[in-house]
Amino acid sequence: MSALSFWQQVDITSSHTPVTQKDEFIYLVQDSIGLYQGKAKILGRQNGRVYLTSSRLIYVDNILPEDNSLSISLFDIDHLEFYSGFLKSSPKITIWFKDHTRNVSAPSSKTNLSSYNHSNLYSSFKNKIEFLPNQLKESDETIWVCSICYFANHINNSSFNFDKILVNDFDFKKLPNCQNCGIKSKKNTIVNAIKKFKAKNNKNGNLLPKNKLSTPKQPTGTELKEIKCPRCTFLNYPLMLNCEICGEKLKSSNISSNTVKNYNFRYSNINKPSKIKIKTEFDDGLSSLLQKYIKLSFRNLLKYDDFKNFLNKLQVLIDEQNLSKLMESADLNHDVKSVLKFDLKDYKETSRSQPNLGILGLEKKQTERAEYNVNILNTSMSDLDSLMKKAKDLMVLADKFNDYLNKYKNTDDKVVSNATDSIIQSRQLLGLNPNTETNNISDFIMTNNFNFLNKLNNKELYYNELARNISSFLNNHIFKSDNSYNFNQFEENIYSGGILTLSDLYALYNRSLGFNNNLISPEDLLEACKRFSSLQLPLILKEFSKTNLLVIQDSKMTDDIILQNILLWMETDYQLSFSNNDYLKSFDQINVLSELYINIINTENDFKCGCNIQMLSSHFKLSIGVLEEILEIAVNDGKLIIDKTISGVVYYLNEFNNYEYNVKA
Amino acid sequence: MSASFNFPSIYNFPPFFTRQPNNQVLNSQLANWSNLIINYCEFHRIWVINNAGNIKSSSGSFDDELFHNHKINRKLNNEMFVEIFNYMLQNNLIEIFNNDILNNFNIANTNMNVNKSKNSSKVNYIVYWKKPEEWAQLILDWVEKNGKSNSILTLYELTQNLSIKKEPFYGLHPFILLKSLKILSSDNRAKLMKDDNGQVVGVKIV
Repeated sequence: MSALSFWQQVDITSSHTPVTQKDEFIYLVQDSIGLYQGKAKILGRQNGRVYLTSSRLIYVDNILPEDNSLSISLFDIDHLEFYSGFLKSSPKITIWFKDHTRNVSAPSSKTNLSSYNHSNLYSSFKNKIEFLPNQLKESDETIWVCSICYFANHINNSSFNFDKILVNDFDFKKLPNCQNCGIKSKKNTIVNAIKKFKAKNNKNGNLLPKNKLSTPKQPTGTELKEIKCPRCTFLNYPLMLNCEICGEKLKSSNISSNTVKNYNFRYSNINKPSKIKIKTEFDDGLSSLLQKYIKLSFRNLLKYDDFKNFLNKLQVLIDEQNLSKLMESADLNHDVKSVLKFDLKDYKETSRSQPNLGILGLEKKQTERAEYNVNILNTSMSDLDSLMKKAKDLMVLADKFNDYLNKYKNTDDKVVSNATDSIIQSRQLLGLNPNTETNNISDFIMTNNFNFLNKLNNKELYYNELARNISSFLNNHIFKSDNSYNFNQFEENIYSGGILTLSDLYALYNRSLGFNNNLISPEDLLEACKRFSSLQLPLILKEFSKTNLLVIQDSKMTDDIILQNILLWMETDYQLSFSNNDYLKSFDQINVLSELYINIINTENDFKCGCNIQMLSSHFKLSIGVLEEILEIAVNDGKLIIDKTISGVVYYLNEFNNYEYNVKA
Repeated sequence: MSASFNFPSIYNFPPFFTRQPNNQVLNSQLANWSNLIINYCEFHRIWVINNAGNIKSSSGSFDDELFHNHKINRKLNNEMFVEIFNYMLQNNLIEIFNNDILNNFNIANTNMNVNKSKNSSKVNYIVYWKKPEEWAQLILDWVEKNGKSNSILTLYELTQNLSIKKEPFYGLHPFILLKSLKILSSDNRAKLMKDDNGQVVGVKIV
């Protein structure tokens, strides 16, 4: 009943989407999925979405996304089985995990199970760990230390009959000379060396009593202990593999599993298997099996094709993942091609085949036609997709060209400046920011990670996913001041005030998608935004009652709070800036009026000065449309008063009510 | 124009010249405006004001400074004029000037150039910086103090005579004068003398 070690913790964003790792892309998402461990349902994980990414399969629970979400690494998957469903039972994919216990030696197996992780740093470390016991095992050389010069001599085991030395049945003339000083070795030295080697060989991985004696006792605390070199007794840093002084290989047992675990925690937050609690409906029946499996159950499946696509894509990704692993360990040539392909035809239309007659037949034809159209649309854009993937290279090229042009900038050549302008323009057309570093572009493209979804296939899922994507887009890039992401089309973070009109969002979002991704329509946006509350996203779709203006709000920034901030600001800081004449510097839209205000403020201090919507907009980083609404409400409530002139409306704090009329005689 | 009027500070507050959407705010704004108008008219002894804010008075024509603050470049618009005058009418601070009443007067002697234009879009308002009752009381006090009771006084004597130059009702608009005298007569304190045409020419205050 305990959780399999294959389950891994997932970090979930506030928009309830999984946090993807570097170089991880989401390929597919499917909703209404239930999880099985073995043959039993897992409690609390029966209604969720599954994201298929390039390296993981992530389950995000619909009810308790923060607590109940899980993932498994594609690399852990051995093979897939599927069940296409019958009557009331839903189609299922059975995922068989690799049996790691079979091929990994005992002491490190535990670490290995929990350590499949794709962050580069860690995997390189892991490789070393794996490498270590093998080397020890395979070393067929005995090392003896010369008593004269302390040089470490190597003797090949195969050329020596050690047993004979031990039983004294040996020709001592054949004892080796020191390779350094040429002095013949003594028998005792050789015997000791042989004993050490034998002890090493006997126990291999397990803690060796002799080893334990030869090295000081290791406390089993979690702190890292320095390792004493068995040859020269130098105390090495715990993670060293070879002695720093003499180069002797350090004992694998010294790197305790504790140490490795510590290392794990330090470099990745994903491996916290202990935190995952899984309760199944009944016994999962896995304890007797060597190879473990889980199942994904596809509930409320609208189209059988979704299931097929998912299965197909999953298989492709697993193959890719395994291939890339092999590539990494340089077991394959670089241009190797996978021969075994998962054949979709094998399970096409197995149990759910429909007759081609009657209404069903017509319906089927209809869907086929729709699918055909979708395919055409998708494939026709594939060229653009590949161009976009080349964008990074293009950017580098453009930068180089730019640098080259910059050298000639001083010459005031018009041609040069024109060329620079056109570089910038074309980059803007692509939706790529000229100011950011080139490595940010991948992030830029990563943001739109859901265009794999097809609106026609599953509307509900598409809109839900769009809503989540918009939510993370807003929360990560617009509402929060995230300097790494600035829009070249706009001033930086101009809308970070926490409220945005739908039309602004439409423009920002589509612009962020770049030109090649399936841009969303206004209807899609509205549909998606209507789902914010039901999906429990930290956003509110609000309609202002007067003008029916629709806005998206950060749930932390309601218009009341914004208004309070505005009033406070107008009462305090703004007035100060006015009296210091900072006003003139801070706002460039100086007109005759503003100079007039200053005159007034200098002559009569009875009233606080007003400010116009542009000043508020630039200070609070709100769009003007939204501000107008908020201010209108405030004016109608009598919190603000207005001064309408030909050059616009100026807002003042309401000081009429408290005004005492008196005429200076 | 003699000494200049000291405007209150709110006169230099730009939103004062814009109609405020909130009713409560609007009311206090209108109250402030009517105070300002009354004070201004009292200071300059203005009796009549028209619905476009034009002022004509015995002491000469005025520029539009009351409704047009040149310093901050703000001006009342027509909408605000309507609001203000309606507010003042409701509070009996002004009254629509009615030529019919004046026709009953003998205004031969008055040098006031009341706008008699037949243009219906132009309405003139009488500004009561003192209520007719207060004017009546002032006249009564003056009559009693100067032993003129029971003697017949012409309207000219009451308002234009040099001997009353220091009295507050010197130059009182005939419209207001008649109103006040009617109040006195209804209290049986005055008797109006009419000529053959039925126009009031004199009064006997008892």
